[in-house]
Amino acid sequence: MLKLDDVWKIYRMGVVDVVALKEVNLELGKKEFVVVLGPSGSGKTTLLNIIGGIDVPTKGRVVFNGLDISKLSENDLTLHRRRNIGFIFQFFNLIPTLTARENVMIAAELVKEPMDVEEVLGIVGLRKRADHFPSELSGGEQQRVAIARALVKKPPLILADEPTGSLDFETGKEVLKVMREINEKEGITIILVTHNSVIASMADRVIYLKDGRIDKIVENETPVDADELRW
Amino acid sequence: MNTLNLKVIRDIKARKGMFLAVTFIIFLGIAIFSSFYMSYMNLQETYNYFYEQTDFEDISINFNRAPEDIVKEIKKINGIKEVEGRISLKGFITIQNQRAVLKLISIPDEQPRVDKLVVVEGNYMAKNSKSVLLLKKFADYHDIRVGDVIHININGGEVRLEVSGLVYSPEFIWVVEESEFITTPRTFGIAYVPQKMLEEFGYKDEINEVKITVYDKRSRDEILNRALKILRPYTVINYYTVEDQPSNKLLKMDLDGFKELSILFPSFFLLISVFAVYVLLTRLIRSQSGNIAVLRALGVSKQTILQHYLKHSLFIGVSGSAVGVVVGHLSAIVLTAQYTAILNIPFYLTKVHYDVMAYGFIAGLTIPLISGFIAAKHAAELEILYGLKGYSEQTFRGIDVKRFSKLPVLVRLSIRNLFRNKKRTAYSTFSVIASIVLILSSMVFLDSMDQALDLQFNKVLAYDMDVKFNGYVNESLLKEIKSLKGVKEAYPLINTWILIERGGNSKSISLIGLEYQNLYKIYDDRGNIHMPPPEGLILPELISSNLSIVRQEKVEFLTEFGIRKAEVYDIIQIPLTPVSYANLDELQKILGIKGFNGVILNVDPDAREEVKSRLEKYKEVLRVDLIEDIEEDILELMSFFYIFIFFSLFFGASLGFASIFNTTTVNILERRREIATLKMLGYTTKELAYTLVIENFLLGLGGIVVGLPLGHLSARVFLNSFQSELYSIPFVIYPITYVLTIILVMVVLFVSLIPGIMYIHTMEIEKVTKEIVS
Ligand SMILES: Nc1ncnc2c1ncn2[C@@H]1O[C@H](COP(=O)(O)OP(=O)(O)OP(=O)(O)O)[C@@H](O)[C@H]1O
Ligand SMILES: [Mg+2]
Repeated sequence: MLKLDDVWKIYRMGVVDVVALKEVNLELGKKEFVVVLGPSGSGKTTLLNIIGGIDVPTKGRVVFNGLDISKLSENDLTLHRRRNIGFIFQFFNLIPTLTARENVMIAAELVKEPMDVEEVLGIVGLRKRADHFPSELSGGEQQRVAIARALVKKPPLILADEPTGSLDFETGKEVLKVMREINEKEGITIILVTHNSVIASMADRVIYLKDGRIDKIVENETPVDADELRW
Repeated sequence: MNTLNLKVIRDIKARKGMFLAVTFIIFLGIAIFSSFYMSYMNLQETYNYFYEQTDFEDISINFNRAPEDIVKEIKKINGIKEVEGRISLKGFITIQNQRAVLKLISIPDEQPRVDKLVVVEGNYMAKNSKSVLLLKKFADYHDIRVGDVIHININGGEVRLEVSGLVYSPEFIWVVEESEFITTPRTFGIAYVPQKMLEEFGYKDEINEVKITVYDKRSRDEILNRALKILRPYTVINYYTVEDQPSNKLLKMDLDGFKELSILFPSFFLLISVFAVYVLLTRLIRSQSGNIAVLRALGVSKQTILQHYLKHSLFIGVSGSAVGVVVGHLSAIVLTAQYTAILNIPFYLTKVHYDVMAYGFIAGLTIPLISGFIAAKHAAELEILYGLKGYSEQTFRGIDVKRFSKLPVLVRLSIRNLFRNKKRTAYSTFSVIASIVLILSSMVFLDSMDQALDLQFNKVLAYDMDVKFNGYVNESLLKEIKSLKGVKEAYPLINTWILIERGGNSKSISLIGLEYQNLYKIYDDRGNIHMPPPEGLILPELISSNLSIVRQEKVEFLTEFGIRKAEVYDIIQIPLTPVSYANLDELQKILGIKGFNGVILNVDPDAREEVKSRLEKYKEVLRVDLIEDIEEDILELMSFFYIFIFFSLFFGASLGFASIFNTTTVNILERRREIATLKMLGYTTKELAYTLVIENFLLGLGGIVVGLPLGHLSARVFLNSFQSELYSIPFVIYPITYVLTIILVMVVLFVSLIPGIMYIHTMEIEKVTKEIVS
């Protein structure tokens, strides 16, 4: 479904070049749950942004379902994101003046056949708090709204950048559980970026990044339940 | 509803104070524009309709006397529609010991062909009856009703006439008495009497006025010249086309004023609103940059983001201008009614001016949309990656903080804040400046008028009483007046007029002949005193520049005694109504007459009423006026003007308040993380309020430094745009006005902080910090 072919990302900072990604080759299948692991500054976010089409590679091809998205125009990239990608960020970025439900609806309205908003809120376990405003929700609840917002469009691929980064251990675990659930039940491919190596044990596949390069890729035959994670 | 649209509504609700303030600015601008412009149109339509209904004159010529048949001669001129010949004389009546001058105008048995009368009570008179029609306002003022009998004194004789009707005339929508400082129904009225009756006063089969209507307005001047040629042998005294008709001219001036103000005044508001909308939306967008980035990442297009933020300004524009045009329409009706109530006109027309509404609406919509577009464009172009990294508060650059290191931390913080967001500081300063400019531009009218009246009544006219005679009298009468008990001083004067013609341009102006004395002084607008010239005339600058006359030039002019010539001794700026002056002896020589037609008196306060009534018993005396009465009349007449000034002051202050409130609130909201942090550190609300007060004080200071000179300048421009050849007001703004303006601006600056300080006071720190995380 997704293929990266010699992808480079170089940031030009005045006279110095920062190489964020180097020679990245990668292939991902449907329904996979992939964790990208690496130290700070290793290029994880950059990789995710390029896959999600909010950043473009300096060199190389990103092919999504046979479509080379690195060659798309601004408008087509937007349409690609609308149809194919769900984003979850470390900072939830919910709209403070809209309730949890309305924050999900705003994404649902982007596509022709979205999932049922109530159903999605059910999946992330927020039915009861659907009418609350973000400032009335806990961090974990806010992140679950963000997950619901990504999920409701029924995208084939969800990209999550440190979704547990600003959450405590217990809440983080619950969020991860929900993500694994939607991966299994809805058959959505998930790429999850983290620098917490414990999370890697719940993945089908772990991609290790180091200095912008893929260090190694490890297949996980027996991923554990999010419940069993300890850190 | 689309959830993004829901967000628009929630955004507005969450910042209702600021949205309301900005919408209010648009509303004021559009309301003022439409109410003034619609009033202008209502009034113009009212006058035009009245003029049409009554066959208002195109040309008027006054002359000494001519046979009635001259009308037939004039009628032969090509292009003339109708000619009406009539007799016009002065008379007076005494009502409850009050003497009022009447302009008596002869009318035929049927309605005149030109300047028809609108009878609103009673009837147009019966044939040859001893009846009179009075101008409605005059009759009302003196409580004269239809059927009452009044005694009119004409040339020494008295006639008894029954009031058969009360009327309005297109000639006297504004009643102006020649060579008088002010005209009120208390002392002057118009009376229409049968032609046959006036003929008995030495005008057997004769007339002294013709009124003409023409088919084609463009041929007026030519027809006037041809009519003048016919009337030359009969000593033409005065003539004008409709543009110079006194009543019409005054109406036209006010109309122009309405029109001018309808553009000038609202421009301020719309200009401010451009900045206000921009600041509000930029702030909104900046605080939502994370949301925008996520929405864009989710697949919301640039177009949609642009439209989304345009809707905010659409809301401001639509609601501000929709309410604005409606309120404008309603207040135009009130304004039209109030204004026509002080005129002599039987009705007023108002209608829904859809075109003006459309202009107002479009202007009020386009302006916020344009600045909204610039802000929304930023939102749409926001780089997703940048937005996702989170908006970091702008760092501080550009000024050396160390220079202020001796100041307390909170003061330094205030200064730093002013420099942090330079655009907004500029806008705030601009709001202060605009408020000052508006306030001073309104106040200049009060101050200048006040000073002009003070000059006129306390310096120029130092006498208590003035007497006008029916014609010219001689020294023996003056001696008699001087000997009246209570009279301290009495000086003769000549109050006449001249008409100067230059290259097709003619101006008529009062001419006053004075002795060297202390009761009537000639002041220029700078307050310098001039003596009556030893020879020739002193002309007002307004007239000389209009006719391009220079000092020492010999000019020819028409007087009530025929054509005369004299040298222009001096040209000065004369405040209020332009008047020309001459030495009494010199003037007698120029005119070739003896005697004088007026006397000015200084009278014991206790004896004034007594002297007045004794003077009124003389058959030569036309009227006696007490200066204090005239002053009172003026103040009464000015009340409409004062209401007007009050409103513009009110609007100026509201504009200042709305825009300063807006920027102050934005300022506080933008810094709530910082303020929350300071609160957490242990700063009290009082201390934080102190930094804001200092900040606004500095803003005010900056605004004042620029605003006062700029306001001074614009006040001058405003005042000059109201100068005309009918009156000029010397420019002055009193120091106290500047002081009050400064105080008002500072008060507005501080009051607008109150909601923000209350917000800081009740701010829940944990809520703010939570929002920072999300
Ligand atoms: N806009 C940019 N301009 C210049 N350099 C950048 C930019 N964005 C990222 N980089 C650099 O690219 C490299 C990779 O950054 P990236 O954000 O992908 O790291 P990361 O693995 O996500 O780190 P972290 O775990 O801290 O989030 C870093 O060295 C970073 O400094
Ligand atoms: Mg990262």
